[in-house]
Amino acid sequence: MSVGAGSVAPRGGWRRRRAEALAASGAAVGPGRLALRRMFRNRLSIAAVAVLGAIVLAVVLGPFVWTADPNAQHLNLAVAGPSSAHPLGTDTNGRDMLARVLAGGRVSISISLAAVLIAAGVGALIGLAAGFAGGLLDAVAMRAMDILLAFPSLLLALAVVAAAGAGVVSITLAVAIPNVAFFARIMRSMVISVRERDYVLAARASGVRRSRILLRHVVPNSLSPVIVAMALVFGLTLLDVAALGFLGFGIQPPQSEWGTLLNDAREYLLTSPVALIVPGLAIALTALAGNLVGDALNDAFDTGR
Amino acid sequence: MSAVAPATEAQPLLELREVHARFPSSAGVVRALDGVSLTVAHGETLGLVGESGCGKSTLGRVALGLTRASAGEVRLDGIELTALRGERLRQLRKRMQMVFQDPVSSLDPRMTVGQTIAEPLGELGVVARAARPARVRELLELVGLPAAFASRYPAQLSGGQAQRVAIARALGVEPELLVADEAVSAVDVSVGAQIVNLLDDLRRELGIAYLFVSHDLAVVEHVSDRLAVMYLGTIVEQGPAEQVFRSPQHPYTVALLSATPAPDPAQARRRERIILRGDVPSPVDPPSGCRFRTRCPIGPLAHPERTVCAERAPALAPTPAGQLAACHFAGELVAPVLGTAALEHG
Amino acid sequence: MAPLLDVRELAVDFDAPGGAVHAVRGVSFALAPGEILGIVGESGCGKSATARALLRLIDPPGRIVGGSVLFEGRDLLTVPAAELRAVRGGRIAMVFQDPAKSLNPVLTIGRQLAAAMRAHRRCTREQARARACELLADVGIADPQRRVDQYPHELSGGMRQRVMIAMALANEPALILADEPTTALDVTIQAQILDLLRRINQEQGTAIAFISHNLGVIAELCHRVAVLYAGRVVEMGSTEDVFRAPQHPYTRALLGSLPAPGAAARSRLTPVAGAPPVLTGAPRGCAFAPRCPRRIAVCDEQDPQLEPVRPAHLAECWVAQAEAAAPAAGGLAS
Repeated sequence: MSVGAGSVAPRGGWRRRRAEALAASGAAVGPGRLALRRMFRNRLSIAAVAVLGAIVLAVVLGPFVWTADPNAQHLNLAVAGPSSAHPLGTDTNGRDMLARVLAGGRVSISISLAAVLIAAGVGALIGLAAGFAGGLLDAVAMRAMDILLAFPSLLLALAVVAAAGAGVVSITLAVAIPNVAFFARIMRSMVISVRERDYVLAARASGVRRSRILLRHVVPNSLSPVIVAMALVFGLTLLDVAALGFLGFGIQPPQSEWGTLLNDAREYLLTSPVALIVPGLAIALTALAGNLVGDALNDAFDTGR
Repeated sequence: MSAVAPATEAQPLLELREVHARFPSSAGVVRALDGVSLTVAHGETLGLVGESGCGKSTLGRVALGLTRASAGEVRLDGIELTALRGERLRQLRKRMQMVFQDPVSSLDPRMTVGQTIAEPLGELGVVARAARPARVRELLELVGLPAAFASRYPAQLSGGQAQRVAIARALGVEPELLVADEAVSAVDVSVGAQIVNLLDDLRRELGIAYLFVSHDLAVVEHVSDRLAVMYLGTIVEQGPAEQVFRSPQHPYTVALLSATPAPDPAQARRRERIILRGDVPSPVDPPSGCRFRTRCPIGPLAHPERTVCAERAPALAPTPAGQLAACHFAGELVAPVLGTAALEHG
Repeated sequence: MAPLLDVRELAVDFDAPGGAVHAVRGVSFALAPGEILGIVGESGCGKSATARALLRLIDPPGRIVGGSVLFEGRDLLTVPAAELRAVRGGRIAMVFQDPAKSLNPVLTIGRQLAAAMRAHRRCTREQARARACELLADVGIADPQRRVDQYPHELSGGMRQRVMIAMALANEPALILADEPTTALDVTIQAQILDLLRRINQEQGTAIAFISHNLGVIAELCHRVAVLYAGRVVEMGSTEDVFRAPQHPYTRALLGSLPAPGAAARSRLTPVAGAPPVLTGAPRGCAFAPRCPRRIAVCDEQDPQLEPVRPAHLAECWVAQAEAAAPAAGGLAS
């Protein structure tokens, strides 16, 4: 059945003319930098990036600035309100909340970040191979991903921790593994779409080697959704890590992270809400900032593919 | 045979013999090319014209080895493409290149113009790394673009400029054959004219042969030495361009010419139009015998006694007028065509 | 006879970071009842924006910033929304370029036709269906009883465009606005659609405003033509006049870019060099001057106006106007 494609109305209109005029005035900007510029034009994006940046900076540099020992107990000061010595008060064992939140934050955020990077890296590689090669490799890889997706992520994480113990490495892997399938799918569908684009065919026709087509043309043009997903998954992973901690399967003492802080403070909700609220707020704020950054990236990449 | 083929070149640059191309699809097997044969001599321009679904784009890709033919032979200067794989086929790309319909999307949005043009030079080992920037500048000049364009990105180019970049990329390796797949269809009229002039200049300067694929008869006739008309995967008429245009032998060619609007209102009013009925049949299940019989103004629809059209597919055979046509009743349908009317008041 | 549609100094801007782009800069033309007017120009000339502005179909970042569109005694740019809705699809119908994108893929043809009808009059489902079959037959679709229950994907491109035209005819409009309706179709199918439009114009007296970049199609179908460049009408007259004796240098260049069928093979095409201007800021003088082979001093300083240079043939060009005023004296040398 003919789908009538006689001629195509020429692309043009005022948008293209403007882009040409801007280029003529000397501003040759690549799509990557253009996306960054777009992102920083939006006030909400700037705010989200600022908040996330501030949190990360706080947990990285914080312990050097606020040198109180998170594990030192001052039982006489248990459940005290904010004071100059303890700006966020103390918990039920008299430990300084601010120091605990900062130390815990380091652990939470670094585990989440590492997990996202691992999941994205492994997932993108699988997706790339499956999408580009197609055929049997694609089928096998995707069935494996399907199996992975069949498990609820938290249960899977719990299983990994139960099997491998509750060390930092095993927790990182536990929250990373369920997300691999997600990244694989995203990368694969982008690769399949990019593979069919005119410039890939043109590269083949020009005599470019397959390996170079993959690395130079397909991968860079497939990454935007993966980057967006990383920002979004960061927030989710943070929540997963906190959940593990809250359930008692997280980092073991003396190390602490936000989830375990929540767990510790559980029983004393009514008597000392501060110990519960502060880490809870930290988790929520960071996850939210991560999501907003993800949204901002999505909008920035969206126009002008 | 082409009237302009140099007598000394016995071997054509491009030769397709009984090429078939079949693709599986959800509706069945699509017979995109069904026994197509043609040749392009060195330095010649062969125009390939037809509507959507006729297989002309597939033909362009098969000619370049980008799509594998299911059967038949494809030869570039005697070298059998279908027998080559991988690296050896890739190296052959130095001799044959392609320019696509949508100029902006045929350029990687993340690479500058300079990088795009330089890429095949490096990949095919044609120009050493140190010499590439100079060659890129040379090529930009050749296609009429300022050297400063090398740092621009595709999104900052107009359709015409992008097409020039695509042509520059294709020319870098100094090919002998250039397949232009609807190269001027997606740009404005005046831009398209600039591109046509450019291709013409390049042909004269560099002696490149073109396989010019288009649905626009007027443009094709203007640039081509010889012309081949396609319908539903087969060539229905083939011969010197002016001759096919002036006295088309196949009823589909006549109808196509009749349907092509000419920018001449007086002629438009005077001309008798042949309007084909219905739509193009599906390439999954083409009509038996002559594929055009379901829409043909002189076939069984108009003359029920002409059963031969359904029984036997006509072969591409010489006609008294000179060119080849695949029709049992070639030359019967005549309509005032654009060429003659233009001469009348030219 | 009073014109059916009288557009005066229509202006449309598109807001963009870095200043507004003036896509339409004072376009004026009139359409008589039963006439087919072609609006031709290359991409970026403002023809699509003009077409949409007539029915106030401009969405942000675009805005209509001036002018009037007089239709049947009312200015469509200022009538209340309810009245405008009655006109859209009722007295003025639109046919767009790509039928695949304009038809709803999840509704049958019949339901979409019925919706077009029901928006403007009351009728029962049976009446709507009967009328839908009638309309499909009118536009040359065979076996309308079967087709009316089919979905858009079951139809070919040509048939879908016929369905769009049927929808446009559903309420017996006085004017059809066709924006590149045949551009996405094959040549032989295009011929069918043009034939159909011609027939509708002749039999039902429906006026058509036909927007296209294809000069051949315009020559085939239209009685009069308006040539657009950089948001203004640069030439307007009967199709015969404009094509045979183009007055504006841009029109001449456009016609010169077309390969003339039957002309000496490999003769050089004569397009105009360069590209159309970007329409930000306030341009001084004629927008075509930088590319014009006949440019003189005044062209860079003052904007020419659309004036008659021959009977019923207008051009917006200082040189053409000067030559028309004093042809015997040789006019201003180019």
